[in-house]
Amino acid sequence: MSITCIATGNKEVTLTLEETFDFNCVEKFRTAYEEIDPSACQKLVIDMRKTHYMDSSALGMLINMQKYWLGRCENIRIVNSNPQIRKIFTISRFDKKFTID
Amino acid sequence: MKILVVDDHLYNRELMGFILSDHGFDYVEAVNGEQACKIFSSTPDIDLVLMDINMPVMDGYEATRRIKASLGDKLVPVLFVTALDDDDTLTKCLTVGGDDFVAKPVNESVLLAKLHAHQRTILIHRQLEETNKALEYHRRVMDREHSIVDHVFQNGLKQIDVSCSNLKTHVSPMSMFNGDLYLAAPSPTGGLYVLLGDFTGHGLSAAIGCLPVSNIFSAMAEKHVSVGDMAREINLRLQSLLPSNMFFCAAIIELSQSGDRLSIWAGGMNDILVLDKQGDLIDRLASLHMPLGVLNDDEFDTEVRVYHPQVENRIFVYTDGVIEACNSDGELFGEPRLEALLSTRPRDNVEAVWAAVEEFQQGGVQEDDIAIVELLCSPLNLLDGSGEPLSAPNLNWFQRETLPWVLSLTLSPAHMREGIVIPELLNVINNIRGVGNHQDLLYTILTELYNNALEYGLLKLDSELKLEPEGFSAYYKARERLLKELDEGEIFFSLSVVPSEDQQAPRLIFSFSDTGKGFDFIDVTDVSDEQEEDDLSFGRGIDMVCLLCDSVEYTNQGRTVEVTYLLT
Repeated sequence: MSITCIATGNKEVTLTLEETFDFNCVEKFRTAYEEIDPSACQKLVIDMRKTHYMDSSALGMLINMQKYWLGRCENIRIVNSNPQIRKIFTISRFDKKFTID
Repeated sequence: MKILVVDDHLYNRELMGFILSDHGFDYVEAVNGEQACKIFSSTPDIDLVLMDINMPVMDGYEATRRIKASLGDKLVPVLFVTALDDDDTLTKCLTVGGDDFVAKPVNESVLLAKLHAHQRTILIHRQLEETNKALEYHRRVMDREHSIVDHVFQNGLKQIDVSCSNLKTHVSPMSMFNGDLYLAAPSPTGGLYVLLGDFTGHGLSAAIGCLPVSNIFSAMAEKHVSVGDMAREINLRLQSLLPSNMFFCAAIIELSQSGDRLSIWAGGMNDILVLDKQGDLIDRLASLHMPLGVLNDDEFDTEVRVYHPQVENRIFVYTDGVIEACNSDGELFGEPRLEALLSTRPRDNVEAVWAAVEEFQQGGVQEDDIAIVELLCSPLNLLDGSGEPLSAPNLNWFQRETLPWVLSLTLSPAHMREGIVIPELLNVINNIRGVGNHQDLLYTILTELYNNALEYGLLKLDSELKLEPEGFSAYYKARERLLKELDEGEIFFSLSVVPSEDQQAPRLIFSFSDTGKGFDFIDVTDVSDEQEEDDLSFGRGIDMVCLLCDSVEYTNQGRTVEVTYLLT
């Protein structure tokens, strides 16, 4: 399995992450979001339904992604994160930087 | 064929006896009604009776009545042999149960013709009896098998007990078994999965596919897979299971906990209707796919339609049975009628549609199964069967017994290069009672501590490298290279489990030590001041660990870190 990237209609693109989202994914994740055609993407959705394991470099990757997309895409949402992952987002105050639901 | 001849005159009995034996019939004789009854009851293979009317002791009427009463379903024709031909006599003969008459004096060819005619009737009757018996036997076998299968279905389709005020449903089976399937399950993030589908046909043969679908649905809902992947898995199973003329039209829908994001995979279903807050039809979502069980896995399309409903939109999904309901004139209920009904904004769409369909096909027969689901798009509040909120498994940790494990490990560079340290550790730790719900957070903690020991302690990497996105990659490339070259140094890991005491939660105490130079650890554990550099893509690891753990302590000039995690 790998990071999948599909258009989900209305200029929305969904990136679905793998079970483990950690430093091993640095290149994969960066390639995935850099390959998205900005003209076809106004909303970016990060789907974490499969993700159970995350480390702090994952947070860094998300920050880098946000910087990359800043100004190109009106909204980035993180969806389907499980309660444990959400706890990590909350304590690292990511809920203030991303829309998480 | 054996015949009972009843007559009080010897001459008549002998005459008939000659005729019968001449033509190969077997016979027995009785001299009055009473004797006839006795012989009849003791000779079960008598096929037909020739009965005189007037006899001493008991007449032919009474004997016939008794014989016929003893027969049950068996057919033994009684032919009255009589010289009387007045209407009253003939009527009475038939009233007591007689089947036919032979005139006295007996004419040989008439008697034979009548015997042959009744022989044919007896034969047909016996065949019918055999067939009925066989049918009755098969019906019993089928009843028994149905009740066994019903039991299996009741247990096999046992749904995850979830109810929620956002969901209204109506499912009507045409027979004991239903080819329409409605399933619902909570997602691990508080969302809701709903499946509504219709197998071709109905009854048992259609329902048989419900079992694997329901199993896949609940297992995959628990794993939180996307509705497209769920559809693929169901398709794969049905494709190998069902004959090629059978398939499964279905819509699989996931509603997020916040109620504003729908993911839909629909194959072969009627348009899913979207109604606004007022109840007006604002959108139709057509199925994008073939029904399940048709395509090969490599042709299968998992594309999911993501729909963002407005607040309190409602999603109306129904199976074919609704619009294909037929009235006594052979007219179909049809989509226009359905949409016209919904436009009247009934108080309860599901009940209203069901009642209308029911009324419409009054007089006709319900030909297909019917299932309707309406899903309200607003934040979800899932309840279990008894009305209690559905939440994470209850955390009564103090009832869990844990053993005082101690685990220690010394890692050399070769082990570190393997890249399996954290997964292996987690594998072991997961087997400790009470850890189950914590594994995701424990992964984060262990990864942070281990990577710190490795990256800063042994590899002496500088996290400032990560300041730029390019640096981020460079950092991890450097990590890979340095790790490959690393030929000395060790990381020591230990875990002790402290079982619960005095209502205190069990604790896990982890420690990592490395043989590196150590570092100034005064700053890193201080997370009290508001973090200013919130945009940095690094530097969160230790803060995170501090917030997740009950305590974090650095010793040995920063070479050793010990953290305590509570299994609450």
